[in-house]
Amino acid sequence: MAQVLGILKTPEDTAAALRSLKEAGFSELEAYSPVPYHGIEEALDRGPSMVRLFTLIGCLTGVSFGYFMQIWVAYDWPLVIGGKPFASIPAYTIIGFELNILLGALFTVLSLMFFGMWKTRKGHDAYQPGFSGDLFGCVVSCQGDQIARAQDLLKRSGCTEVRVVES
Amino acid sequence: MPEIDRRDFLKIVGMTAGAAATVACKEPIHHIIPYLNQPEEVVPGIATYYNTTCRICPAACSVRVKTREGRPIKVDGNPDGPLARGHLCVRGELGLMRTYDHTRFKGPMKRVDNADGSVAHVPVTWEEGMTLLVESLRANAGKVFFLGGHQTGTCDALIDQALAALGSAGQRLRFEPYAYEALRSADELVFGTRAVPQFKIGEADVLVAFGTDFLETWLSPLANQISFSDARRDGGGYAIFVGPRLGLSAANTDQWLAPTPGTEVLVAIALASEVARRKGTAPDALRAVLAKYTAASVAERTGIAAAQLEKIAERIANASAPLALPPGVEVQGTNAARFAAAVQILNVVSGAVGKTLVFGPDHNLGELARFQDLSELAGKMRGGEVGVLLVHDANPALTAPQVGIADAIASGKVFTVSFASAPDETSKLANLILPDHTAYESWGDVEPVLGVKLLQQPMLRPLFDTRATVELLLDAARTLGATVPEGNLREQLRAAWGGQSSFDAALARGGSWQNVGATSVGLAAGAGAIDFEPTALAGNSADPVLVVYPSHQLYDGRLARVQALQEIPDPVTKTMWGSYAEIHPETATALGVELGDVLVVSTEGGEVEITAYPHTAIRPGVIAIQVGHGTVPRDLDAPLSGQGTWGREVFGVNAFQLIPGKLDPESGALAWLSTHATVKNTKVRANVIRAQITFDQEDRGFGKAVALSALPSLKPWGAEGDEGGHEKKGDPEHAAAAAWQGDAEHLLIKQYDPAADAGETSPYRWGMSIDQDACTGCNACIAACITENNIPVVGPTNVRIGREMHWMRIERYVEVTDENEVDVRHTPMLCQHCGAAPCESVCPALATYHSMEGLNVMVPNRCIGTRFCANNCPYKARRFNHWSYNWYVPEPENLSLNPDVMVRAKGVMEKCTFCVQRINGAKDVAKRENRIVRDGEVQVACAEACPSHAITFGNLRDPESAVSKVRTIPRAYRILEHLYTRPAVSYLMSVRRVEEA
Amino acid sequence: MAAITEPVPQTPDQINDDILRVLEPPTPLYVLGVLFCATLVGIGLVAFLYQTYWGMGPTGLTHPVMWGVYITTFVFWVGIAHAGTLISAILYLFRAKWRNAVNRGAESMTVFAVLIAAMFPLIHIGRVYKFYFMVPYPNQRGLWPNFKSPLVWDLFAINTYMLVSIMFFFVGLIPDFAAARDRVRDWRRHLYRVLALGWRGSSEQWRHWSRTVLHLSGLSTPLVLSVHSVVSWDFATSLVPGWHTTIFAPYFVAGAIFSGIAMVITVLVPVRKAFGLEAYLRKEHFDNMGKLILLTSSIVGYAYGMEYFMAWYSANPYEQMSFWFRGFGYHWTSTWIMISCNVLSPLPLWFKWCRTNVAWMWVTSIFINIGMWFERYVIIMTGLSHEYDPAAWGYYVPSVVELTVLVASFALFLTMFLVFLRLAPVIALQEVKELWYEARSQKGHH
Repeated sequence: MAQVLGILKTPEDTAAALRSLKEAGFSELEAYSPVPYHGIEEALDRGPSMVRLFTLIGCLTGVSFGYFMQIWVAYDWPLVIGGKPFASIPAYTIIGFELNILLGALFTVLSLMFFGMWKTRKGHDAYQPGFSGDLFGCVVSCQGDQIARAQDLLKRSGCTEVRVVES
Repeated sequence: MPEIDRRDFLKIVGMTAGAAATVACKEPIHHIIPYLNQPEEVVPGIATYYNTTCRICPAACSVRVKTREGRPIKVDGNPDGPLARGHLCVRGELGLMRTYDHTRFKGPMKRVDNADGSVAHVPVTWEEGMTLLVESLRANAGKVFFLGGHQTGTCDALIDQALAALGSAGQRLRFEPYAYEALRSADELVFGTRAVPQFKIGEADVLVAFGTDFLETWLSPLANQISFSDARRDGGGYAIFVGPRLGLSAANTDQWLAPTPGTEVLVAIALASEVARRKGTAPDALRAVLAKYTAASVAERTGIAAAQLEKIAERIANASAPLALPPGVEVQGTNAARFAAAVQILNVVSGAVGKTLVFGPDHNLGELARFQDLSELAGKMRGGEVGVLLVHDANPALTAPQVGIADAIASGKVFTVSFASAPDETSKLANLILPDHTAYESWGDVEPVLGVKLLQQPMLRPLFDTRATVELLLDAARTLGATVPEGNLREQLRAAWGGQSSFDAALARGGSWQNVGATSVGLAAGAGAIDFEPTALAGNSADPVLVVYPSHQLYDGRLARVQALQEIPDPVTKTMWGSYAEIHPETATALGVELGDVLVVSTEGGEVEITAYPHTAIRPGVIAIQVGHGTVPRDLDAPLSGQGTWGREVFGVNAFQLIPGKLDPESGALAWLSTHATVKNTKVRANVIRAQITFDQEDRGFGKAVALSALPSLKPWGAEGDEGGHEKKGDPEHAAAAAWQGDAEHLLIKQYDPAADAGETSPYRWGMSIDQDACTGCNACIAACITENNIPVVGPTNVRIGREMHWMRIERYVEVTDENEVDVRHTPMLCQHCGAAPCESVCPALATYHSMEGLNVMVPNRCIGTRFCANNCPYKARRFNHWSYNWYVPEPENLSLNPDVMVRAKGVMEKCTFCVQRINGAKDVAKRENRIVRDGEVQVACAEACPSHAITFGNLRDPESAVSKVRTIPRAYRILEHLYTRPAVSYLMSVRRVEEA
Repeated sequence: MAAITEPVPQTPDQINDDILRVLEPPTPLYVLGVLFCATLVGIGLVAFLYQTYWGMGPTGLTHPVMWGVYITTFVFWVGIAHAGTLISAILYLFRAKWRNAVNRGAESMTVFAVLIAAMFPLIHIGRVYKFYFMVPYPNQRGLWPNFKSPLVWDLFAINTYMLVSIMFFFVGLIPDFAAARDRVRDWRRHLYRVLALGWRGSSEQWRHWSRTVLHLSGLSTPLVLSVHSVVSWDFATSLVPGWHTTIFAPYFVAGAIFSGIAMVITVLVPVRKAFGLEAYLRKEHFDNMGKLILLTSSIVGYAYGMEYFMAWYSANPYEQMSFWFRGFGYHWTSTWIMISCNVLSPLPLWFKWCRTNVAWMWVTSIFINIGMWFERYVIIMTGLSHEYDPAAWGYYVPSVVELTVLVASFALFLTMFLVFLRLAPVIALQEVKELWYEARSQKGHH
């Protein structure tokens, strides 16, 4: 399997290049950019991130655990405090809320670590340091005669440089 | 009697007190647990109670001492006793601390005069000490003089015998600074007897006090206070005070006349004549003298309007049992005897004699010396007529600097032996110091009132190497070959008390007392021939008059070393740790003096530097200073680094030295009120250490009052949705409530049930009620609380910024009234054990919560010190340990700590627990007998001590309990209840007896 | 847009250079600064240990004033901590583009300020070595904290806020760490390699990253509003006159943003000068922050007025006395410092000239910091000094120990910020670049 890398100067060109590659039937595409760019995401059209699901799970866990802990503790050793009922739900709302936020955020970040960092840890042989500066990269994974086609397409979509990276 | 069980138990224990005490004597304190062979009546963990006598002041009240493992930890009144009736005063409550004072003499010492002229005392053995004593006695046979304090009973007789054996019979003075010379001479003038009669304050419906500090030091202050509160139950009684200061006693009267200082005598005699004219019952002998004085004739000199005097005379004349109290020392001038005579004449004409003023049983002052005798002694000493001066239980260097005894001693002509058990001004000069035991370490007996004989027994083995002075003198006499009674003091006493069995019975009871019948007295021949003139005041009449008055807490200075007493706020000024120059704000402005200015006050007697303290409880044109301060400080290291070395400071000044040595020729009494004082403002600012920065309660309804006339119409709080007379409408406090919560109006009227604030299953809901009309602000409750709950002394450096640890305080509020009505309200403030406590809900660590019995429980061990609870307590009843105070209590003072109560370390909160250790103790007893605690069976320390019966504690769930009953009487109210804290403490309004003109 | 006189970055690479230049090896002056601050922190630590050993004695705290400088400073730092999240979360949701330049600095301040704030309750409690009694942890004694207590709410709120803002901060830094990794040549590249967590800027990563940032903003927005509300409830749920009021939550939140923005300006102006970041921290940023200050200052000023009005209108004598005492009593100076600093000193900012004058903004911001510290001081002090019971009234004077710890807290804040300057881009690289590309496409290149 080889990776054909095309280096571009602007996000618009990158998006265009990706689109043309897609039309040409290339499926295994990846793009590198110093900044997030909607055009590129649309071109690759991968759909919404899984992160949002985990945020939801985190929030629900947090709020339910928060209330459960407080109420259970109140009856674990019932003591009269300031003449209030053992479990005073209004007073418990605050901690319920805080835990909702805390676990929501934790789950969100952990899911980023998983999907964004762990699952994408391999296959970056074509990466150039410039991609964190002002260069955009457009990578096609293909083999055989497709390589030539990809190079050709990339050149035509205005890449300043096209190279093949063997992996 | 509810407490019968405990009482019986105590009596049985008391039966063996003698044996027990001796055992306690043999047992070394530091090995007390485990016992090698345990005396059967001492069970570790179970308190043992002994009856003995408090010897702090001549009143000598019978007390019951709680001892644990052979060491006394708490003193309370002896419930069976004749005078105290189970209560005790602020001084008595802390009297034990004189025994535990770790700066006491550890053993005999002798004086060495160094080459450089400095003087020091070095320890010697008892052998050497005795030899020195015996040698000096032998060398000065017949020239031995014994200067002691008030002393009666067996010890008194034994000392006399010893002196006689030494050939110096009768060479002895029993000196007290408050010696009632004037009263005794007055009785001689008027009734022809020197006896000091009973003043039945409890039966008087109209009481007139002429500068008499009957609640502080006068005769038997504790008995006075108890009967004073009896007289004033439920709005009864009426009291008038005539004198320059609104002191503790005056603040508890209803009307205050402040005549020109020195002319009080004219008020007394004018009242007498007005009363006589109204009753028409004056003895013929007095008609002439009475005719000379009328309200009108004295009005100008006294500055009291005739109409006012006549109104009072009217009241006295109509009274069924009036009583006039003879002058106290603060108004005792060069006319002291005649002034007292005038008061006694008032008693004669008002018909008090034989009714409220009764001769027999008389106060037994023994052969108490006159002040004059003391100055004569000083003369003898200078004249070389005295070879050896034996000083015991007297401190003339402090309390009588005018007569120059100190100089005579210092001159070295007299070999002085001091028997003081703790350092004082006199012992500092003595050639030889042979320390005596303290009263709680030694045997003795005393007869304060004829027929009332009290025994005094050791509560613990002497802490230091001391010896009983009486035994020591007898030994000395023996060594010199004289024949004196054999045996030690206890054997002497046993003999004197009629053998073992009656002795033991007396020990169990605390003494023996039988009624001495009253004797009727007639008018003395010369009574009609007295003429009454105001005291002559020396000095420039433009200057303020100097008023020196006795200290309520330090007496004459003998208690100045008890730091807890220094730290309890003075009941009137609310100042701690020192004395202040008290002046009226008007006078202050006139003199250009402000709070905290350091003044130089000087008279022909001497001069002192003292901090100014302007307040309104004093007559304009007067400067008042309390005695008892400025004495030898406890020479100890700072108990705690960071608190400064306050242990070494002297606090206040010795006001005695301002009194010129003038005497009253008739009685030989010292003229305390005899001069104006020149006041110079140094403009230096000093700290005023005070517990309260304002006496104005801003109409916040802390101390409430109801007029006597309105009392019958006063409805109980919340009665038929009506607010009764509870000054609600237009009352800012009420406005606050209305503003506080939309439904406040409803909240206030709805009467919640405090008894509900406890677990359903609990038989108890502990609660308290405090009668502000009975409370005199005497601080006995605070003292009791301190000893019961191990409350630390934090010292002036911390008190100055408000860190005192007292669990309860007495708030003093002065209401502005027309010039001669007294409306001072004392509001004891402590944890209210709220049903809906604001402190509980804010504690993050759950260190404070509501117990099943309705107590607001504080758990110092769980406390992390966020201090939110203290912020959120509207009563400010919580106290925070800024330092680990109790860790630094020096030996042997730690022995005075109550083992039932934890000592708190730094960083934790603490507060009133309603003496939960006592509650649990009572519950244990009840549980063993398979019943619930009876009403009155458990008493909190403050209620137990309160001589005015102002505090009622008990179970609110028991409708029959005293506290449940008293809560429902119309005068009851709760403080800040509009905050809906549901307090368990309710207060009774004080009663204003002066009807609005 | 404000008239821009500062240079405009030409290429994204220049942006990298400009911003990452800050990471260059430090100057002696910088080292001295760090050492100085660190020393002050050390002194503060000694003071704290002394206090821990002796108890609260060395402080000026007493009855009835049980809270003092420590709680004041705690609330102050919590307040400071609010600007960061406001800028990075709330303004992010509002798509206020100007935020990109300042948000990194603001976020870093949030993290440091909340760290310091979290220390103060511990410094303040009487037995710091028992602080864990507040934490719900299973133990054989079956003891639990009191979840009804506002202080426990606080514990949860502050710690949640701390963790969430740290996560938010770090997520935002990942792409910039990658940039630093690809550029820095010395030992630090290894550090950045680790911190970048293998970031390549592939579109797959950007996809999850943007979503994460969006959600974190969404979560932080209610959080930041809740945190200071909870802090305000420490006071508002009590009975103390002057504390017991419903206005506190919005009043405190506004005050927090107020002081937070002020602190951002106080800190960023010197940085801008020292590292020549005029091209990024532009006048329009100060202009906008000036507007925020005006808004919050007005809210705070309104709250001050309303407190006095309610005290009078409620006819509640305790409130009235408390506020009279606040204005004219023992602590009157603090009150008037607070009012002049927080209400009067921002008034000139109504003029654009003042808002766009960096020096002016800087001085104003310092006044505001002082004023906001005194606001909390006044609320705590006066409330407690004159409570219900006239016999229990008293005063409080801060002690040397307390003031030392106060100073040390500022020193600690600076130390952390200075160190951070050298470790991570103080301006969010990729966001600035994003802006650059947008501006470029708008200008119709290509």
